[in-house]
Amino acid sequence: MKISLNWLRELVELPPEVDAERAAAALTGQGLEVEGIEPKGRELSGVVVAEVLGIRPHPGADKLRIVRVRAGKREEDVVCGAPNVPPSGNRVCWAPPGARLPGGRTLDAREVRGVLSPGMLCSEIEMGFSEAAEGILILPPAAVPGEDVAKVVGAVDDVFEVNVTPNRPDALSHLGIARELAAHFGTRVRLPEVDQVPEVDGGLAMDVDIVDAQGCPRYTARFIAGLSVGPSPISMRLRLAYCGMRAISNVVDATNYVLLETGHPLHAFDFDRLQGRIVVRRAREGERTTTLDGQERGLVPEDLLITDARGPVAIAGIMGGATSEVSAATGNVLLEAATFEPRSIRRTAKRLGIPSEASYRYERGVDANGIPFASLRAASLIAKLGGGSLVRGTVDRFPRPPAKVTVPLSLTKLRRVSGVDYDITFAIQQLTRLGMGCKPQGDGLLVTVPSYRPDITIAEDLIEEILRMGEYGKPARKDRIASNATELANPEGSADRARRLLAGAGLSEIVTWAFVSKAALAAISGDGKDATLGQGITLRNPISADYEVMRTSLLPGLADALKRNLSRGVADAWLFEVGPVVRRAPGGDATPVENNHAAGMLAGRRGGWLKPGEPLDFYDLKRVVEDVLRGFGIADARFVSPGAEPFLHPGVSAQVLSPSGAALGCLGELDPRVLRKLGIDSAAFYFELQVAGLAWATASLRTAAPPRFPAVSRDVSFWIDLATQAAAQRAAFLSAAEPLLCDLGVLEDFRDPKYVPAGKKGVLWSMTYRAADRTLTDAEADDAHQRVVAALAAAFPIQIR
Amino acid sequence: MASEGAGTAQDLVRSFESLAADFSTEIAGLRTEPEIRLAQTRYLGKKGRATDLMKQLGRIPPGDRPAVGAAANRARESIEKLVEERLAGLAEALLAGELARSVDVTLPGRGRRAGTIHPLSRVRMEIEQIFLGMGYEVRTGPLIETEWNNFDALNTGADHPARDMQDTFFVEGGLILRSHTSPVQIRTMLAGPPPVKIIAPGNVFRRDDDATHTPMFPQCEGLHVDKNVSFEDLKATLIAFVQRFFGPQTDIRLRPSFFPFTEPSAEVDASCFLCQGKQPARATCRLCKGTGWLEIGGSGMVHPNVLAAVGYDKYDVTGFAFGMGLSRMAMLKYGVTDLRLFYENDLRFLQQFPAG
Ligand SMILES: [Zn+2]
Repeated sequence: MKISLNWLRELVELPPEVDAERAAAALTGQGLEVEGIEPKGRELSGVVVAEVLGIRPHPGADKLRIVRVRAGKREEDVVCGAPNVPPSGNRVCWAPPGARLPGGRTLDAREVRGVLSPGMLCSEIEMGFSEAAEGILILPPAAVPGEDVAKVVGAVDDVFEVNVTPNRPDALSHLGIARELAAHFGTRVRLPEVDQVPEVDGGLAMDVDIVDAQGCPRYTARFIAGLSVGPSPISMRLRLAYCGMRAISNVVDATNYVLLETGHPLHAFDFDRLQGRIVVRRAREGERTTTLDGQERGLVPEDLLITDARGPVAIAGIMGGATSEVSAATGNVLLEAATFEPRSIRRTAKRLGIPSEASYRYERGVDANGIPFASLRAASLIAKLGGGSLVRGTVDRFPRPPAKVTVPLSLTKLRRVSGVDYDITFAIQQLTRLGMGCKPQGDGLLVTVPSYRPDITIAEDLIEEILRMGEYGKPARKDRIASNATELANPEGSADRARRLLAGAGLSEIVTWAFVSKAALAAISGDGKDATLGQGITLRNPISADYEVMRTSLLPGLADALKRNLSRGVADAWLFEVGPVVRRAPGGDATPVENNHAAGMLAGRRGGWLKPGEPLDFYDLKRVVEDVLRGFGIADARFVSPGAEPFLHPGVSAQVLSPSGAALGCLGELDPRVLRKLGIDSAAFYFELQVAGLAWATASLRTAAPPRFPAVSRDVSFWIDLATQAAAQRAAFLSAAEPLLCDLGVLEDFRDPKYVPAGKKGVLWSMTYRAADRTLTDAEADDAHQRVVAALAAAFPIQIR
Repeated sequence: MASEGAGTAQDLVRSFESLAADFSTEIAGLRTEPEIRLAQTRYLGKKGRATDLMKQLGRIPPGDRPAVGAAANRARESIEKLVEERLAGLAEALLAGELARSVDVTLPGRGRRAGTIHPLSRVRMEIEQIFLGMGYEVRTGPLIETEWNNFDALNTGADHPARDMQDTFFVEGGLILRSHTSPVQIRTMLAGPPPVKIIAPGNVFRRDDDATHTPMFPQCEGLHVDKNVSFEDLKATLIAFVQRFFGPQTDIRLRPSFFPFTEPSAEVDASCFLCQGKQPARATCRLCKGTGWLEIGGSGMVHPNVLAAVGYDKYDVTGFAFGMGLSRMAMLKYGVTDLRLFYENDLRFLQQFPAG
């Protein structure tokens, strides 16, 4: 909301040292944050009010005239080309030599078609007051010749952008902000003066009937007769513009002016275009109306309407109707000042998508008790500006007057919530400054809340009021710091454990959004064949089609990040993400299942500066996964091929199972077809693990002392069927149940068809033998090794090499 | 015979003397320990030249034998000493060669570099550590929430104006994406009686997408409910936090504000850690834009309606809550000027955040 400091100064007396900065600091400190201060009118200087003394033609040009003007004691002949130079006695704006205009232009005396002109007469555009104007600006007769125009019209101002929280409807006006400043500086608010205008009896009258008192607690109508519609004075138009409102006509501008001043929305109807009486009611099914912006609007029965004998004349609290709009021909006005139920206004404004200054305030709550003043102020202003008269006899329907609100506040509670032992005098002093009435009650107070503060309903609200007048800013009492710092919870959740392990393994963490496109889920799910991956939870109101479904896997985000890095020339990308994926609950339960996953994507070449990098393969990926598993204490996870996921290469993928057989995740090369769909032009390796699975599979750590006797190693090398996996060979070796065998591993898996018999592979195993109680002899080791190799030979056809 | 015998004894003594001289000449050309040992064996071994000479001792008259024996011992000692010296010299030369080796220490280490932790994770971990140290537990909750947990329980009814402040994402089944982590507070309080002392970090969602807003962003909220928890405790806790996070000189400023779930409510500003809020540095400070203060979050005393909604006795306990945006904290802490960098996932940005 924009607030003019000039306007504020009219409504509250501020100490002389209070400038824009200090006023803003006071408001911010009290919870009405001033987000910016915009200085206005500083670019205009030296333009003065001048009286027209006479006009004569220019000898050298038909369209130019020579205007004799007087400002103070100075009289000059100024050349002017404007068509609207007023007759003698009127006031115009004269920029004499030396005057400065917005845009940096400085006036001088110059010859215009052979006549020397000392400066010029200015239009609103030239002085920066508006974007459009016809001819020069003519000031009201009250303007004193010689005075500075910028000051006379109020162009020099500071405009605050105030962020008013939705609980403070009372602060949505200059008067409301003035009240806050008065409380801060200990001064008083001055209500704006009501203009003295002629009053007449009779002539205009119209009854008002409120059918829906729930929706409309108060409706008043005043009548202004015999006015003429025209532009409003420049000072008012300028002030409206500074506050973000467009000037329309004196009648409409006056209602907007009083709205900004008091916070009360007002609506002016062309009285002569109304028929019968005003009825406030809900819309009927299928009813339609055209609002004054020319739009035809369909209505629903919850919409509150102002109607006359013919139908809707306004959508209550939101926008007037086209049929009763004030126009240039309007001579008589019905001025509406009313309150409407906030919820009803909010729903209708939201549904129709037409937020307005009026609805903004009605949605937050307008004070019914402030209506008589606002209505009188606006009606008088309209009459003054339009040259009309107030018609005696105001209609005031007030079916639901607000209850007087009193809130008890106990001193105990004040002290308990604030943590400070304030005394009751302090509370009274703070609350009184804010316009609250205080009466002693029990150990505390019974506080009467002004009707413009609907946000105050409980003791805690009063405590905030007491504290916000300065107490928030006081330093904290140090003895309160970090009390009872006792129990230290587990500092590292499983997800962070996975993060640290993956970073240690050489991957960099990324963060992607929890929603992805439907196309991405289709790409990773075999076009939806895998429903777990393909059927994500959809958003009803996504930002765009790129983010319309909750991710079922971390793959789309990682693929996207890889693609972006590759396109930016970063070829070596080892990425990981840890975060929740959202999947449909099995059995149609409405609440989806969220689980933290840890996933990684590897692309590029093996690192190192000593040798040119080899392309990555499955085993680089597997080492990363093993590092994470080992980090969680899972040394003997099982890798079972083929992988179950539709996005992995069928031959280069595996499921990861815990020792007890629980699924922990998957790993493998991405299927080239999926890569193509994801737009990645490079081989990439991927894994995805369930963090909770890792945490559950973690066995408690058991250790043994290092062996005391040395070990002996023996190798065995053989041809075996290509299909017999290392895990199967290992199991066969272990089936010997050889007590001396303490470790075994593959040293070589050799498949070059030039040397290996068809359908076979060459494998080299190395075994370690050790006894716990003695050093083994060579013979003992040989015997043990023979038994172990025999067990393999018994299980599979092999040829020892 | 005596003369012959005497002659033989003298010859023998001379032979032993030349034995040592011969050995000295021979090993001068040898370069390795095995060669030297082999030469030593040829002179002093069982089949060596010294043994051969000793075999002639029987022909020497017994009276001359001690002189020959002494010569033999001298020769042996002399050879052994030569061997020792030579081997020591050789070892020294080897060591000198070994020590002469050097590497270019400025070449990089071998193998893959350790990876990195995302700045938003880093800043969250740091904040968690600070509050863990103050006795808080870390609690998390689901992203998809009920409107009741996200709004109603937090004193934000269907027509509450605060629902306009945040635009919510709706998903199937009448559920929403949580718009703050406050539902974790509700879940925690519903799960057990006070005292409650938790922080709730996590991602939240609002329908905003521009230079300064992302539709998903991380938050961290805190909640402390117990008997006699006051606004002063809130202030003190926030001070303790900012001093650990930004540095011991940091101060806070509270400004009255409005949140439906707290009363009284306050915006929290921390004094700028770059300029310390002091002139003249403040006037040109880019971080705080000359204000001396950095907005870090919101806070307040838990609204009695929230306590009532979770079944706590609002006459018995009080509490405070606070919340902050982690993107903002990370931007301040690491000097990141563009929010979008957190979600672009460009490795050249991310790799500036070490895992340690
Ligand atoms: Zn600063």
